[in-house]
Amino acid sequence: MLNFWAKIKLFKTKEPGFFYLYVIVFVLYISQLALRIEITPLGYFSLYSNPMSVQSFYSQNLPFNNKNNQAIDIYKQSTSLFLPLEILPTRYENLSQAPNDNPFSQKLNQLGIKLNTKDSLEYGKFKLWYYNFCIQQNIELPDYKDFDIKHCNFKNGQLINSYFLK
Amino acid sequence: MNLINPLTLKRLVLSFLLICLIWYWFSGLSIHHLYNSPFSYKAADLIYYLLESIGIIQLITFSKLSSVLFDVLLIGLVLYSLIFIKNRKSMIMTSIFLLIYHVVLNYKLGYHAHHLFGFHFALFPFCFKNKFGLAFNFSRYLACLTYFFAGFFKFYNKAWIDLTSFSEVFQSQHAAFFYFNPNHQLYHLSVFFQNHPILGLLIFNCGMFLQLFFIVGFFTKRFDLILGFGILVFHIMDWYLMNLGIFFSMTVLVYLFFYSKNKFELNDPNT
Repeated sequence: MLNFWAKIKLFKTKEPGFFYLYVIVFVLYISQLALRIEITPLGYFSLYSNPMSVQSFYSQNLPFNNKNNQAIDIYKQSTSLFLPLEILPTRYENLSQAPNDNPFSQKLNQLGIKLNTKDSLEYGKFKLWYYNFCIQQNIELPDYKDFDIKHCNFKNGQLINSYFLK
Repeated sequence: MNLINPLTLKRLVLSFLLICLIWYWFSGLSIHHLYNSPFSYKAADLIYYLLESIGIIQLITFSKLSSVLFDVLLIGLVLYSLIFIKNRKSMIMTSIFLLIYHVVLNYKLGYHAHHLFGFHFALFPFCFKNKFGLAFNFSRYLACLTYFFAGFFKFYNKAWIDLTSFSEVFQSQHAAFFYFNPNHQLYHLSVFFQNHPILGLLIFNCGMFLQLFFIVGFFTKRFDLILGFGILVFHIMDWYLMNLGIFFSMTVLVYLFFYSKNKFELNDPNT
């Protein structure tokens, strides 16, 4: 029986291509962990990893009909269309509030990488694009003048209040 | 265990990919749906900066026509690989196009989602000639690494010892959905978890320990059937409880565990 290191050595001699592939992935994975930042698409699944304390309400950004003061139902579709409809306004809020429209801007700065991009996300531009996206996906919407995207706060299935995105 | 040969396996993986891509098309997750979104989000990921700097992203998202063309090409490539199942070059092209789809989608969605990993890992073994077994093991290790780290982060960040965390996450995840669907069974389940948070925490911890268990996959293939069924159960529960249907694409990885004890070198799908 070969010991562990002898097996590694044999693998390196017999299959150098795959050996270095393993080394590259290992180094990438460890360096991403050490830097606490994902620098390749080979990232970490860390969804729901952080504990969540008891909330007084739960938030979601939604398309909104100002005429009847109602949020627009994005869950009627039979596919996973609700996912981009949920993600896009949430990401708009997160990204537009970050310097350089990138929440990793500060972290990259600390690593010596300066982003040259400007803040270019504007609410009006995003709202118009999102409106057209919903129309293309056959979501029932009011006229554009009555349409907005709002930060809605819910509790036990009830809409507590809602705010305009900036 | 030698129930199906690698060619059948390749057909199954490609068919599953095709179904998922069609599902994404009808879910507004194709590039032509998002090509003109105001986002160009690269986070800190070097691949995104690279593809942007050489102009690939701009080329694909240049117009509606170019993005439709890319989506059709991707689906066409998967179909071509399915029909000409022994053609390795089309398989490599499919994998490259899928990686580009992954990057461009996340770039224009403004969110770097990871659910397409499953397909990258699953297609990888079919891109090699006479190295299927080696590439298969490599993908299997990557799958183990991915799931183990998902469990590790849950463990490290201590959500697993916070009694009310899961019931809070559950309510937060479905906040708007409950507003529009107050009589849905998920709403009743949410109320149940609020009243019995320990049961919610138990479900969360079962998922976390299942993910942590993938570390044994580095040392032995003895538990691969359990790991394979674990992936299936985990993503079915994920879909049902958290409504993360698109993460179901990760289930394609089960073949790496159900089929891991074969001697592939004699059964290379590309020869």
